[in-house]
Amino acid sequence: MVFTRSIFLAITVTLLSVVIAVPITWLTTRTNLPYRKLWSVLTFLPLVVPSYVGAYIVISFVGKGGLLYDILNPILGIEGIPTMYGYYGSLLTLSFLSYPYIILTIRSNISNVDVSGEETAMLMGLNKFQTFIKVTIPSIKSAIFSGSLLVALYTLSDFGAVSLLRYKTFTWSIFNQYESGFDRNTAALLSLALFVMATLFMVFEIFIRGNKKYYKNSSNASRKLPTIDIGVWKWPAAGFCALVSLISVVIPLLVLLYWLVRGLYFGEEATTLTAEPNHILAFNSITVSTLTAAVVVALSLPVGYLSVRRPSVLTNIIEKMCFTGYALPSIAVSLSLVFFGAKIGTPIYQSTLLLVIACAVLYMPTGLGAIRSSMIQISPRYEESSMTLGKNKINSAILTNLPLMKSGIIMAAATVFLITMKELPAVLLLAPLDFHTLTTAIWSFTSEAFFARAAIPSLLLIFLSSIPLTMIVLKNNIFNSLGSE
Amino acid sequence: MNKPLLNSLLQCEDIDISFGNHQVLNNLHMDLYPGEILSILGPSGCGKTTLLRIIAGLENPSRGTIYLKNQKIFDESTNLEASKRNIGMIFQDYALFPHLSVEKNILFGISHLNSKIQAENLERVQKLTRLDGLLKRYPHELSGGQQQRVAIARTLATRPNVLLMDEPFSNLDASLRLTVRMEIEEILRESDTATIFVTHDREEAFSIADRVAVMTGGSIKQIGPPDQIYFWPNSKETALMSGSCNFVDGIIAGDYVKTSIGMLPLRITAEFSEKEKVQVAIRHTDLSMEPTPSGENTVVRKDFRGDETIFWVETTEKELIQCKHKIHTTLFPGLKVKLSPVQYTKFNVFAAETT
Repeated sequence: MVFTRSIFLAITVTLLSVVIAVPITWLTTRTNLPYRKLWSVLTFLPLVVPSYVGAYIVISFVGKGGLLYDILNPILGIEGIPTMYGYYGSLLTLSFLSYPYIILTIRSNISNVDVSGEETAMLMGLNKFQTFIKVTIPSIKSAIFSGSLLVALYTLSDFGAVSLLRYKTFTWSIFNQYESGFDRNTAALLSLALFVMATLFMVFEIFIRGNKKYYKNSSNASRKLPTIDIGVWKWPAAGFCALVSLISVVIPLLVLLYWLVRGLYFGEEATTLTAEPNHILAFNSITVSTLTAAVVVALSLPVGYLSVRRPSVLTNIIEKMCFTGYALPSIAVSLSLVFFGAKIGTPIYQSTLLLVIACAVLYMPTGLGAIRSSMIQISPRYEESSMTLGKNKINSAILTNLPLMKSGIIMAAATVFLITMKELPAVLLLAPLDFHTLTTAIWSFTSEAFFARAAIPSLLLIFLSSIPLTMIVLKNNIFNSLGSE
Repeated sequence: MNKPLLNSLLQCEDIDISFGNHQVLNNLHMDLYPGEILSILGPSGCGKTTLLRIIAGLENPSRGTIYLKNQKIFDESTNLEASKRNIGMIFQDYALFPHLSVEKNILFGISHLNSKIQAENLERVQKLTRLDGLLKRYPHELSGGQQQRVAIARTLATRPNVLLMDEPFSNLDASLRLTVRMEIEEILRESDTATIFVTHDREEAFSIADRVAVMTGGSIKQIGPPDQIYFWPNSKETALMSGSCNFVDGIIAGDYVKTSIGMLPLRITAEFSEKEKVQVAIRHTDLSMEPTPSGENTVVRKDFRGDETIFWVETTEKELIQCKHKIHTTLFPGLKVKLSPVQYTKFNVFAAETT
């Protein structure tokens, strides 16, 4: 049944991601693991790979007639390679693509942890491993839960990977009901059920996390964390990081390059099935993503400001509404906008505008989150000083906060740009008829197994998404904690 | 009441404010005169900062009236917004704009004026606050004391009616405080700016202020020149805020008060009737100690602090009195001592607490 399948997949993907992400984060931030910087960079990269590209790589690598078969068959004469279609393929693909979300949420926590707790544990006779389990893990528990929630919601609402891997989950059924039968009522009902499920995940997360906050006791935040010596374990640990990097980054890239070369070599049409050449596809993707990022930032600035500085019932409601967007699977939002466009908003139906609106609705929470967190760090005293110096309220708010939020705004825009680049269901359902982007091109090639043709748009997409990711990484000073090695 | 006093620059009447269920200011009255430096002395959490924020217009009281230069700027129907009051405020962390250089910080509040006036103002305040050579720097490149002077310069550039300072010295190294205090006083006197600063440190409150307002529990208990606050406290609270103090029981006997350590001369007699039970305030330096085998008081604890030593002395009535003394070698716990008032010292008495 689609219901249990979706939930089961979401839970197992989350668990596997936690198992991958927590040790990697701890190893790369706190220990004397060899090549720490390399592993930190590599394990961030899957963020730029859209799930359907991941699925395409898995299918074209392991699947029937795939690369692995081509390699192994002549050498070893192996006939049957286990199929990657279905649950295991989905589990593998989604876990190895979404574990960086957990690394992202726990990384700053784990590298800012209050060492005095750990030191006390050691003084009381616990060894390093016990300290890690009993002190370090509990102190980052709430960050792990937040990261897990992100992964669970990501899996629940994922459409691209499960469809290509033919694992019949909720999102797959919604799309099928809509595409094949035009049974809009069933599709709407299923979307609603998916939304409820996602909301339950959020409520569950809040419930188990509670309102607990873990504070640092000592005030000297700048204290350098001692590097933990993991002794002979550093080689198996490095092996683990290497294996994860190999599966999630190196092999996928090699597979894409292989299809690229093979496509070019065999003269298979490396351009497109559809009318547009690749640079038009890239241009369209960039246009939609840039517009979405601009809309999200423009809306997040006033909402973020009001919710931080002038909390009231109204701003609270607006803020909560924005955050429920996290629980809105993109396919459900897109469908509802399709209905909206067909019934009420006919003038903008199948226009780029409606597509941008859909993406903005979907990614407003992400943008708002980034804007809010940079807003929270700005002392209200600047604004108040400005008022006592004779500037009116609006001028004071703009003159003092905006320059200080520059990096927060860049973060928000880059993140929204990055995830809009990867967005699939909204583009499939809402883009104007002759409007194709990198994502739709990859989708149509891979769903018909034109692996070589999908290689160029996939690589382009990954390359273009790496630019904002690099900006995010640099802005976040994610690697600064490592110091110079 | 509710009419501006003659000559006063700023006047607060009946100010009330609560946050949630907690009443922070309660029927507070206060006034400030031109050119005056007023310090508000109170324990942390007594509402000092809130009072400054109300005066600046950053917080609205639930009740009360505020006059500035004989104009009503706040009551039930009036509320002049912060940017129009021309009251400068210097926050505890100075709140210098981190993205602007010192010069741009100073010019921030006068950017609407023509460039010639801006330049004159910049010149004037940078001389006053001695910021030569620092104008191109950014706030994070300055020391705490320099940051504070920039904050003052930034505010003085707008020629404020009143300058408000929130705990101005608390963020500075203890070793710097004394010099910074003197510098700031000089700047304020030179610019002739009426100033209110709040502090929990009595030494700070006394040393540079013309008048001290003692604030506890959300209202001002006493306001007056520093020596008046110290020598004529009007309540036990003020006595405690203005200097370390012991309280012992006593009975009024003419110009004296009879206590377990003997007869102590009274400073004020009028308000109390003969044989009335009172409490006597004894400062740590008010009594001298003399070791003698016939003494009735016992030293129970000795606390060596370098410049001085504090002795806890138990009287016959089991009351503990702390006394400050320079001598520390010949006095020690267990010793019997005689306590007597230091010459010319007079004692303040307060109504005994009714239990």
